[in-house]
Amino acid sequence: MAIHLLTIFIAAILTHNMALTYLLGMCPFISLSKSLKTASGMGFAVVFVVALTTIINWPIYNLILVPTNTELIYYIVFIITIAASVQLVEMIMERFFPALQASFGIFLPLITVNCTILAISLFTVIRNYDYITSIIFAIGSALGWIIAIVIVAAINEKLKLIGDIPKGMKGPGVIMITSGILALAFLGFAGMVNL
Amino acid sequence: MSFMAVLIMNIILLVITVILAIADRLLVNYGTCTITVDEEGRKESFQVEGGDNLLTYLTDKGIEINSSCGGKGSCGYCKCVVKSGGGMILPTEELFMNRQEKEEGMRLACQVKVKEDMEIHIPDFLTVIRQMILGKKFDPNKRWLVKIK
Repeated sequence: MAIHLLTIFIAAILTHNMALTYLLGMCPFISLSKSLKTASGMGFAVVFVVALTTIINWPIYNLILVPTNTELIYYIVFIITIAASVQLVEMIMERFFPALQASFGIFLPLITVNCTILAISLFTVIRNYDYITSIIFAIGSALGWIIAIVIVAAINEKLKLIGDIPKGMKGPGVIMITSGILALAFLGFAGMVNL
Repeated sequence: MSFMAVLIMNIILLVITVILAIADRLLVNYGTCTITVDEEGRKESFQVEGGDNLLTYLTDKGIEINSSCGGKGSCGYCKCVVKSGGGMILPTEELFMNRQEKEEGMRLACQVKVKEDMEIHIPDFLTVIRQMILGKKFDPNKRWLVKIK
């Protein structure tokens, strides 16, 4: 069981990376990978929200939708629970943990409707994971996403220092090419572990 | 089955709405805040129930401020100087500010949450254009073709 969980965790980070293999969550990936600080802030927010929403969505699907034979509405239910749970967490953080809210709370509303969050909840359902496996998979996938965005942001900061980028390539252009090359590099992990 | 789906959907929505309404009632309560707006010599102040962002209150009160994304923090047009009560500048705003603007206390109105009494200054539109000319982002000698339909 432990080996199985470890395999899923490593596969979610490296071989089945959310950003570089499935190309999910590209909007914040491109717009927020300009600086390392912003990228890591966004990354931690993604880890938090993904873990939280998987913890909530798995029981909703398996304990409410499956017994009542209403699985067809799981897309919309997942979206609603993600939006509502993020709102609630933001309210709680703002009231009781203002320092934490100031550090990554601002990224929370931005990722409420991010496709990565929904995709991870959907993958856990499609692949019939149990509760613990779902949570491990969710945390692994989110960590994979954070690794990808942080590497791209760091490369982008280095590129800015070199300052030899053609005018038309500045901003999203160079980030897209960097992510493409990085995705090729991550392809090297293919075959190591599989889901 | 479709009736069941609609029923379950509505129950889930109802539960979530109730939870959010209770949380909103208990947690988001900043009381009445006074916003003082200094718009090129013209001072105006009004009172609002805190908790929402500054851009919402300004547009509600009919105070003109640029915004094209509608408060998502992606266009960076709703710049205003927050003299007091705005808190620290957020990472989402830093992308749109240069060093001088940060020193002036420039913020994006859509990202500033009203939690206490605030004093803000909205730069004149011409001042913004002047800064664009100085920053060489706008060429005044270029002929601009304006069509009125």
